[in-house]
Amino acid sequence: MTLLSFSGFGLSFRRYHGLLASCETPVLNDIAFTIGRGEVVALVGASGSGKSLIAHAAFGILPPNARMHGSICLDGQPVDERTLPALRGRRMALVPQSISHLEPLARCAKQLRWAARRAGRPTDRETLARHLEAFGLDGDAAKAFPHQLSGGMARRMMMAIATVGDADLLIADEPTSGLDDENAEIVLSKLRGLADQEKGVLLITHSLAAALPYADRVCLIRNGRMEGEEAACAFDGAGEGLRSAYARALWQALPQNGFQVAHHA
Amino acid sequence: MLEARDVCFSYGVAGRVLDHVSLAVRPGEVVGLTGRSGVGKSTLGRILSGHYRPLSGRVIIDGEPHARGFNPVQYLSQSPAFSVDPRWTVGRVISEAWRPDEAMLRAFGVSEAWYDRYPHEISGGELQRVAVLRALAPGTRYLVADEISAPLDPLTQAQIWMALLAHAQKNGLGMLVISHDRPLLRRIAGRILDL
Amino acid sequence: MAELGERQTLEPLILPRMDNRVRSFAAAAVCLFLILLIPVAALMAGSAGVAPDFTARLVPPDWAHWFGTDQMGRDMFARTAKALTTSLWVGLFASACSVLIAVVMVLVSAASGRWMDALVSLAIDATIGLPHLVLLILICFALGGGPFAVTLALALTHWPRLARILRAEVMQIKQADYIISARHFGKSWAAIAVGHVLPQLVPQMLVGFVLMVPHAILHEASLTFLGFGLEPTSPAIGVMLADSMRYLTAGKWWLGLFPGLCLLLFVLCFDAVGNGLRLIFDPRTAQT
Repeated sequence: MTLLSFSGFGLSFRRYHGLLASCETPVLNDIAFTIGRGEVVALVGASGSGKSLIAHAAFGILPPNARMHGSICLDGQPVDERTLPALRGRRMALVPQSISHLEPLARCAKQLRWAARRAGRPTDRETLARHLEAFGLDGDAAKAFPHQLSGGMARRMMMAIATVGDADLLIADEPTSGLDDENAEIVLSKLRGLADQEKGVLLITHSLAAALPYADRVCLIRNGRMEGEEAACAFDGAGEGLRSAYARALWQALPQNGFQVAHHA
Repeated sequence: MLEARDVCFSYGVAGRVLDHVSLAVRPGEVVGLTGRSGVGKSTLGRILSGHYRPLSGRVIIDGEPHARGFNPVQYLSQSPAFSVDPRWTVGRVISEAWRPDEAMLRAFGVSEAWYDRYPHEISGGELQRVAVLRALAPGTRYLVADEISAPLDPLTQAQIWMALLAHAQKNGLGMLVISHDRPLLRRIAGRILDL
Repeated sequence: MAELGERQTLEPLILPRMDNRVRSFAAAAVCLFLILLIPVAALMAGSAGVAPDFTARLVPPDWAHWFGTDQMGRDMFARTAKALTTSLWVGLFASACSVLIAVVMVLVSAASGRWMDALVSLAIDATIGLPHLVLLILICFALGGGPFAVTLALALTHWPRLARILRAEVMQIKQADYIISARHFGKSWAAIAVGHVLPQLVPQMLVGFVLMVPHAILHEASLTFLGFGLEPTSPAIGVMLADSMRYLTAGKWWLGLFPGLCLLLFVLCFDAVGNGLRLIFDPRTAQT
């Protein structure tokens, strides 16, 4: 069952050239994919390919000079600025890219309570402590300010805050950047676990290799365009099961595979 | 040989980041450096490149300490966007260090068409090639590459490393490659150190 | 299924959002217009506004005297135009000198060692620590008043705020990776200051200058109002406002109102231009 769908989606920025003349710079084009319940869909692209903007567009937090076209739907209902306030935190939640998205002057427990209250969820101490425990976070972590947490704990804290509203759809923006393998595995298997509880997860990452063991499907983004969608299990062997030549070239360029530079148009 | 001898370092009052660390990179050798996040890999890289002065211990380059002038140990970071002046064109950025010839440009996939553009007008992968090429001036004898291919796609990553390894082999350049990516290190490094 | 594209194109019709650039350019146009118009109006007025005419004392505003006349029968419109011309020159010149002082101090402190920087910081803090007006009055009094004394006093008192901003900026730029790179490519501090640092400071200098002009003009008016600035006989906003106080209780409202309003308009315009420039030069707000 489809939870979130992007169709014919594109994004451009209005930029000034000189003092008053402005022009539209397209950054995303022809983005179309869906996420169903129980699925982890990985959106993979190099940094600067525009993949984070897809998450920001879904939550309506793009900069003011951005222009969108195409449509974003959640459960068949359009996602736009009229419907977003009721959706954010309740139906869909964002795990942001860095700790700077948390309020630096409030303790983590307080921010978790804010998120629960906004989503209309119980805010009593026990419920919240149990929720944190599920992410391996204890009372000390709850009492800490965001900057006092280590990289891995901060990531888990942001995931705890994002999931406290029990949203159906979770979008995680680069949840493993800056983490070592061990912490990255903890975070990714948490996301997988959420999908196994019939939630939909969009995993935005630059690392194809890290995403593959946890994703069901992979959408490849290059220079603002979709370069095809592949089943995660097709990334195997020499990549015979992959549909697009680009996906095969990426797969063969991984150091654990051939580390080959295939000449791809 | 690029050597760190008994290097200690700490940021302010916080605990020791590096505690009596020693390592050596021979000319023409590629050494991988890995370890958990926050263990001080980047700090060690910057100390070897002379960006930070160690609290105690020494850094020796071919028998001599760091001196003024062109630094034979060049440091490359994960984000090239910060290591180039956003107000300079790509051509000016490269020529701040040296003027690479046609063959070098081709080897690193850098197009002369970018020379008139500004750093934000080319992609992250393209800018990283520019940063790598700039650091390979004739005076460079060692290179510290700190996660330089982490945010790139596998194709660009493979291209940059192929070109870099070929250049290092030909010119006897010693390299310290810092990365989380063990498969990558196994692919390119002669030996891997765990910090 | 609602098309996002549709909604986006309708938006400007529902709520015409005033763009920062459009707003800044409107303010700049008004500013430029005033800068050109005021001196021209002052020139065209000839002796009006200076020569007394005792047959037309304290006339309220009418078609012959737009802003009315004062107690000596001088046309207030011509007088205001002349006063603003003086203010303009004093403000522009004093601000330019102040910006120059700030930039030179900051660059010297950046290129030399820690001692020089400490000295410059001390000078900045000491100058900011003293009340502006007290320092202005002291300098003006020591130099015996007049346009030259006022300009010099303004130039010597307005640099610290900008210097502090520029110094913070330079400190930050010096930490940038590309400066460190340049150092390790063997570039000298002088080359880095000219090639990398100074171009980064130009926007701040320009914004600082434009925002300093209204400040300087207001201080010139205050100084003159208090009797330490321009000569009491010369047409100056400060003199006019001081004189108008005596007639305010007698119901001669136009004496203070029009010069005051003109000064306010003038200052607000400069301020709007400066703020607009600040937003345009800041990469975080450049595209809004």
